[in-house]
Amino acid sequence: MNRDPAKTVQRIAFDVLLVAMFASAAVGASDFRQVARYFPLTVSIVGCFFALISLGVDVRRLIAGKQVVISAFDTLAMEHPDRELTSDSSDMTMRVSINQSTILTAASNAEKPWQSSLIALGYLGSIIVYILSVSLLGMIIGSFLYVATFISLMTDWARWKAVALALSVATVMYFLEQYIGIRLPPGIFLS
Amino acid sequence: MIQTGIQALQLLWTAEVLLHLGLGILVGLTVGVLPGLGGTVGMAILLPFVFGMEPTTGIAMMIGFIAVGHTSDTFPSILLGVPGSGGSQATIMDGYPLARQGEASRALGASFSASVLGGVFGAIALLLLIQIARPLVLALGSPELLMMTVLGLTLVGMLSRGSALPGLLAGLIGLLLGAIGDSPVTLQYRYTFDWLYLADGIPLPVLALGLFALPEMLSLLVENRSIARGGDLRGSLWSGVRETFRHKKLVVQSSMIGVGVGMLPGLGGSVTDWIAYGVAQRTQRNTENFGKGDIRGVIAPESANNAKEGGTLIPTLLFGIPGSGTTAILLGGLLMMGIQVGPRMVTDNLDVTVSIVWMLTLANIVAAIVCLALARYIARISLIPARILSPVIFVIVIGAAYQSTRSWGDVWVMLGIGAVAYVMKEVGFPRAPILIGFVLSSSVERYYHLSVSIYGVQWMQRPGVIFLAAVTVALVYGFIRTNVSSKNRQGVLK
Repeated sequence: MNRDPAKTVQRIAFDVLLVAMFASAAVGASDFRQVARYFPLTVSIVGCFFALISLGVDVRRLIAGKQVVISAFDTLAMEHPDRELTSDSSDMTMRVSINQSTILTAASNAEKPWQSSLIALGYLGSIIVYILSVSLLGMIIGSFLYVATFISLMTDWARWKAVALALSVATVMYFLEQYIGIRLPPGIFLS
Repeated sequence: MIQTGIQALQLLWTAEVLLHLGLGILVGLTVGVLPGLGGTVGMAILLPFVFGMEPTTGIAMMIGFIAVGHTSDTFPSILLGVPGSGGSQATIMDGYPLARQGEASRALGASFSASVLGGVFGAIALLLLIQIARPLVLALGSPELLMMTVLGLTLVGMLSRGSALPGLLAGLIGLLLGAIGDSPVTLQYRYTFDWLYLADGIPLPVLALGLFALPEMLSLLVENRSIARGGDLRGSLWSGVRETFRHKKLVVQSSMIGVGVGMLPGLGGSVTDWIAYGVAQRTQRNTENFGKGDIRGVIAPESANNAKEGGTLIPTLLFGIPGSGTTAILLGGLLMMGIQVGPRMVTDNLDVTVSIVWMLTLANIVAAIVCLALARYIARISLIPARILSPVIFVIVIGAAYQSTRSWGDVWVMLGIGAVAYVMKEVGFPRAPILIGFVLSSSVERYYHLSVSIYGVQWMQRPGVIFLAAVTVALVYGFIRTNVSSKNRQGVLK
């Protein structure tokens, strides 16, 4: 399974979220009328139980994973930055078949999940801004502005190409709305 | 019967009927390609046009639409990881990984050929079963339907590779999400947080788009690549078609599942492809690549979801019980044109029934030819860099989510689910079992309540229940045994 400590920490955070979600669902279900209560209460109690087991499994995995990282990274790489660690060393702690650069690469990879989560958060933010602009200007104009701006900023495309693509998207949406009868989100100011 | 078949073919073989069949196919293909729209919306668009038409012409248009929706919905599922409709969710599991490996053409070829074979199988099954299905469908009560949903829920564990615990948790999340809104057993709103939007529960397309479309697009952006990782397309359409014919047993098995589940009213068509996928994963050999890009993971759900349409028409035409929103509108259309459904469909109106079989067959073949002709060009979408493709897809996804109830709640709920689903994807938490739990949630609660209310504890003593329980136990036992032996093998290797 997943041995990467940073990912395991993410997993633990997610497990805690699940425990909290199932527990609050169980509390919420206790307020429902009897017949309507049985199903959600049973599901949330069972869910809470299994989420706690999952949390326990991941905490155990993290502790085991951390031991490997501490012994390999702190004890060996930090104390002997100039030496390559090989399996034929006379010292027991040196009997590791990985060298220092491998440890450093592993450590840097372990940081990546957080980095990629931050980038994803940025993109998610841009979608929220897009939806807000749609709620103000309507789907067609909001989408035109979003596609044109996004592609202009994120790619090395010429601006006219980005605008042309955005215009095509907006035209297709207009066609779908006018002739096929698909209803698109209206804007407060324009639609 | 042969004479009726020839008469029905003559009924169909006029320019007007063929033209309307073609129109229905065209609308069906278009609606299928647009994610989130689904058959019910498309049928609702078609219905006003059917009013006042000749029965055969109107039926041709509606059947043309119904037959092909699940053929073209594969395009977004395979190429973008966005479910084209409720029936193409399981296709994502292996279709999208294949597109990421640059094998989009092969996956599309296999999908369309499996769809046409499944569709034709469904049409033949409709012809054969409509005359003998009556006692079978009437024998199924709430307890048997409950056991069918339990059987569907066992797939939750099977769809999560490695440890079953995350899959089980995901299934429970799905069951809980399905409990949102009005209770199916009494007048009570649950987990609505005083938000009117949630009173009817979360719509399936909103959940599916949030679970799959948003996380996939965010991942593509973070990695900054095209969908096809290698930047080129390998494998041809015809290699995919050949794969389908190579796995003909799987096609027949999945089509039988499609027809079987389709003819059970109330079970819901959205679960058919998952059951076919899960059973394929259990019954095929060397399944370690399932979920990573195994062509059999495309063939099984695609055969099943097209075959399902033939099955769904059995209770619709025989009893007037629609198995889905699409067939409910079809029923309305038939009544509008003066056709009385019921047992007379196999006596007085047999020629109409047989012409429907012909239409289903023809529509499936035409749709597959059209899709195969377009696939080579459409597959190139998987080569477009993420930073150009993603904003366009986000626009489509948000527009598609809005179609569910046409309220802003659709968009915000989809965004919230998408954010959580991205975290799930990042930490390796399975998302497919959430959909299965969600789809079956209200059925489990409703049928359990009905079984206990009507039969007491004796519902468990019915022969159908015992048979289905035995099948479920056998599947779970097989799953545990395979898991234990695979873990033992890994232990030996270590």
